[in-house]
Amino acid sequence: MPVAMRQMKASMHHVCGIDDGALLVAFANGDKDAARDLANRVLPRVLGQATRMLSDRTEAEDVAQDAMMRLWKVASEWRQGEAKVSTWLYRVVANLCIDRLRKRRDRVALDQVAEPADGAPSAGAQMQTDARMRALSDALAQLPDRQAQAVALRHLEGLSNPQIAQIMDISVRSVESLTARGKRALADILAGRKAELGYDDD
Amino acid sequence: MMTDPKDDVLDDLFAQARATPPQVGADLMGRVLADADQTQAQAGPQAAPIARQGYLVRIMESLGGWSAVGGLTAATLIGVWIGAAPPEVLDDVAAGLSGEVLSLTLFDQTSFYFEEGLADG
Repeated sequence: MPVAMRQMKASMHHVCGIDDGALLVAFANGDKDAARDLANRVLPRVLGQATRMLSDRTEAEDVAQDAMMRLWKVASEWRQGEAKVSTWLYRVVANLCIDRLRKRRDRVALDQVAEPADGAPSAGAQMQTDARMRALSDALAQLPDRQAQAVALRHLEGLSNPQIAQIMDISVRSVESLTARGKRALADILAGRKAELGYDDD
Repeated sequence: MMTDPKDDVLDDLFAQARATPPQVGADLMGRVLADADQTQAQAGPQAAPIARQGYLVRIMESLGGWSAVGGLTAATLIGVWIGAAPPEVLDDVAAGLSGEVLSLTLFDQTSFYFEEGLADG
């Protein structure tokens, strides 16, 4: 297909407000532009979620690629209207990140040394932000899986309790309980690192 | 409500995490689209455009799928055979039977042509 036509078709997907599920079905039916359109729409949020949970660019990009690969593979069985692509992706990314955090927790338990967030030299303020984000992610790794998942979806993704309930396939009441307990545990873990992270006690 | 100072630190960390969403680099986008292309290429032969398989598949499914249609075809052929060459003893029975089977066949043919007409028009 000529480039101009492809671009026109791609922008038509955009203008016509085709939903993500319809794009995924179009992809499964061989539409060459659907993958790019869908990736443009969902990949920024997928990468954002993974980055906020893991605070590690390489790991977050690997998770994002893995989640998208799973989306492409499930496309041929996708039933429009039954599930939302965004809900499905939130779940997949959260699970993949929890797997990574669990491995990190085991590794940290062995080493008892926090790795620097990045080897590249950076300005003081940026370094402090990186250290804080890494501390938050490491603290998340200490929580039980379900608590970590609920807290991340609530406070890092800013989702509502009913949305989280749908993503985690549990009741709203369970979400409330998991986020409350998770947040308290997280605060306790981080309290011990306040000074190190540049928070004064005043 | 009493606010815990520990929560202030945590809320600040959450806010910072949300404040700077990462940019999708060209490299990651390239990897993701390459995966998509590969998946599409592997699934290619099965992924026939929907319009192509339209009416035949729908008729087949309305009759209960391949196995049911197979049975129906056999019954139709037997009906045709009985109708075409009825043994003298079975004359009356065969007349009734072939009539019934043939009427079912005609009905299916009608819906077949009807669907085809719609698809063409």
